[in-house]
Amino acid sequence: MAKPEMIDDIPVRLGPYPEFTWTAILIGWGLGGLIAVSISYAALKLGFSIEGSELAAILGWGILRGLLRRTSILENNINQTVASAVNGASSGIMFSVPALFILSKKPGLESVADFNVPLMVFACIAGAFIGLAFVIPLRKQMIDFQRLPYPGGIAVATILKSPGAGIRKSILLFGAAGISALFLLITTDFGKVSHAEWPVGEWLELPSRYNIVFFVSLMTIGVGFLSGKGGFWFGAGGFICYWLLSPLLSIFGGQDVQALVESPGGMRTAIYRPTGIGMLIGAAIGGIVVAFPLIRSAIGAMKNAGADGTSDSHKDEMPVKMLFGAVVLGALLLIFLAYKSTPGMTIGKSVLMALLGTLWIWIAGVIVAECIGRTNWSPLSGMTLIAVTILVVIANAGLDKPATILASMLVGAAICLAISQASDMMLDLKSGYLVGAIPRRQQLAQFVGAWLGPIIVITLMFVLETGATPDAVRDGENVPKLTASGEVTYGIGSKEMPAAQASALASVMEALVDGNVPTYRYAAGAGLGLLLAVSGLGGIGVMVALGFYMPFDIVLTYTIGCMLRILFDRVKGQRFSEEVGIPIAAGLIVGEALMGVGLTFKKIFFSGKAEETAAVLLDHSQSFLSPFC
Amino acid sequence: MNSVIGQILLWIGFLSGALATVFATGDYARLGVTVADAQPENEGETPRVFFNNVVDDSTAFLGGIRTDDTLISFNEKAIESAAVFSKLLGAYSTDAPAKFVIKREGQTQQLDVKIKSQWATINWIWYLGSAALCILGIVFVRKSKNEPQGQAAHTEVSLQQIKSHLNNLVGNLEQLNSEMKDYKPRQILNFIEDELQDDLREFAEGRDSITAEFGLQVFAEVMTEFASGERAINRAWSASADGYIEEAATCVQRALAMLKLAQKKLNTD
Repeated sequence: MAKPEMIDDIPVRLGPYPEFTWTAILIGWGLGGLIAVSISYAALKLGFSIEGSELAAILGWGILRGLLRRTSILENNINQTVASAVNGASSGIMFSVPALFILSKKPGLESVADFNVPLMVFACIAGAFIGLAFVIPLRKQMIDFQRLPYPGGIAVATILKSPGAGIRKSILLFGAAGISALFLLITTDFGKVSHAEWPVGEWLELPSRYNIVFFVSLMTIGVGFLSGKGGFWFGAGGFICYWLLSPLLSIFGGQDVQALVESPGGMRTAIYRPTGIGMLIGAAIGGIVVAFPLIRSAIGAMKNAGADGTSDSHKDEMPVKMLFGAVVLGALLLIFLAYKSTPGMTIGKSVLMALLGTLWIWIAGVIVAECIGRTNWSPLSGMTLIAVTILVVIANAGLDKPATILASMLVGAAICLAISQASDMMLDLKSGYLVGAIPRRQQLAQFVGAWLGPIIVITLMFVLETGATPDAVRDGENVPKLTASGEVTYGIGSKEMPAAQASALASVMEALVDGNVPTYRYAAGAGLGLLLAVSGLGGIGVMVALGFYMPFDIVLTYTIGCMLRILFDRVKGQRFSEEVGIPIAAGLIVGEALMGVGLTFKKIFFSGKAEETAAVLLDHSQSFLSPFC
Repeated sequence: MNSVIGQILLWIGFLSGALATVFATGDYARLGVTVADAQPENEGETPRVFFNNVVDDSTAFLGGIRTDDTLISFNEKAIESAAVFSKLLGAYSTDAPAKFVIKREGQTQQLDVKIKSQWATINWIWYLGSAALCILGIVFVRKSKNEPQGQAAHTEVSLQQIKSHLNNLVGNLEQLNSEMKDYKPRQILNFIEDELQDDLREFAEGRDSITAEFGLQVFAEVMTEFASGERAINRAWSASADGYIEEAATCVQRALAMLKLAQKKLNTD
């Protein structure tokens, strides 16, 4: 074998290779806090949250390499792990807790906003830790054995590796990022809309039931490319809904469905999404049953690796005992939290909520880890919905409406955080795998970051809610909280801060308390998902289910990316896809994510709101700090 | 053959089951109410308040409905289709029987109304029949996986291929390990990209043949060592890219030890 050509462009450095350092942790905390505040605020304003890993990796790259002259890919990996762990709270909390502020503006539910703040923060931190512990065995199963692609993880690893990847790959990465960012800028009319859509079906004058609308996003194409042929069944789920079931229903369906079928949005909300949620649950349970021998073998292999003394691979892993410890500790913590959530709560009910909550964290953890691993999308909202449904059903008996909501939301927020952290952890572990990080250190970094996010995000939420409350309300005057049509007039939930996801959860919670849940659809969907999962056609249950669950415009655009990857692999070969395609795809993801954050800042700070926002933040920082001064 | 038949049955069953699941909206089930006690004001006169009935699809006509805590206001006009009626009743939903108070012409009349369960939205007999078809398909698919003909030869070829990739990896790593002291960081990096990446990918893609031949436990043990070895190689790449050649050397030695162990486990079993 020929010796590689001698090129002397990398300076030799001696001594230990920096990885888990205080510099990485401190910068991770700082960046994570900054990203969490930005993304949480964006989530309240715009209704969606953004994965922070890419942003943290890019900023960390600039700070660590550019400003501090640090020279370690793995140190930056720990920095982005800590930062994204802090930011994990933004999606977990912003989807759940603001619902309490929204509900508190409805007659009879005023007391739900008076929740115990330290208890809520504690619940969120505890939930985050439980979620992280649950993914310990999943890492080996899904990353080492099943080798799921985790497109977001690949994108982050590509950024992390860019200093050593050579100029060509860097040009591809940053060139694609620039194009993607510019494309978003143009297609959203400089941020006036969150995303453009191309109604191709309408242009071709096809019936609306086929729902041929493309989500205009190069990032989505990049994600599809990184998923490759593994993303096929996700696309298939969407096509089954809108290109097969909807046309059939338009002819043979029930009278009401026939009326609804030409409204794809209505079909998704009323029928496909709940069916997809049910399928996800069934597929996850089936998947756990099918994968159980593999999980058992994984744990056995971890034990054997250490026992016979021939291998030291087990030293890189968090001990399996920690999982069992976390299950017990997690359940006990949830019992305590549920019991303390509201005065009328009984021990029996708390135990039931905690046990089912812990079980659900495990099932939902498997679902999100697999979904995000195969497609880069996590059905967090659907999983939280199920968690809250379970909790409301238990809490509802014997408690009044506000107490039921409060107790369910407190434990529900913990579960939401657990699921959110689990999916973030798996993404980070994938990028860590690709750059050669030691899993144990990375898991530790995730724990180091996870506690900070809930404190920052919940504080921010109070600052924003208090800041938006009119002075007249604080003076005790009777200011209407709702308009005649039932819309919230100020604060979180109002048109200034719509908090779309939390508003949806608030509506669902009200419906749940009133006993209106499509359990029949969940049950039927679960049966179908279970059958696909145990079919022996590996992993298709969760994928098809996610295709039912997700908006079809995203599925369509994603499918373009998958098809491009299959085409590239066949025509140009896998090596070309890896050398050229992956840096471009990663760049498309990074560029759009960064531009998305930039446009959010523009909306907030260049729309005449900057002074007002700053004044509110200052005012409430003072009121928050005054007890300590 | 069994695999093809199985997959056809599975997908027909799944699609049929999906169709049964999405065949009707829950609102339609809520429409399936019957007015239990709607008496006409005068004998022989048709009652003026109707609820749509899912069985005979009769037209609904009503003025205003008030429940204990919900007011749904309608105009005094006929509701011509189930879909419109469904939307009007959309805000009101419960599986429990409810009392409606009908207000008309200044008089109040209370009616007990039975509300059809939302579970009736799905035709469960159709659904279960579809599920049975799925299960039959699964039996065929699983049976095909246990068929001996052709599988053994195929597995053997795959197994030989992945063993060959593993041998290449070990051989190349031994070379890298022995020559590393003469290498500059960029050379290590290029060696990993040019001589190791393809074999790593090919081994990973053929990994299922280990399960087919030796079972899950051996698969888990081999893949544990392989994945740890691959991660160590990735770490060697990162360390080389940053110029830390001592770390890169340690990682190459570690990767070599792990892949040799994977090789041993694969060859022993």
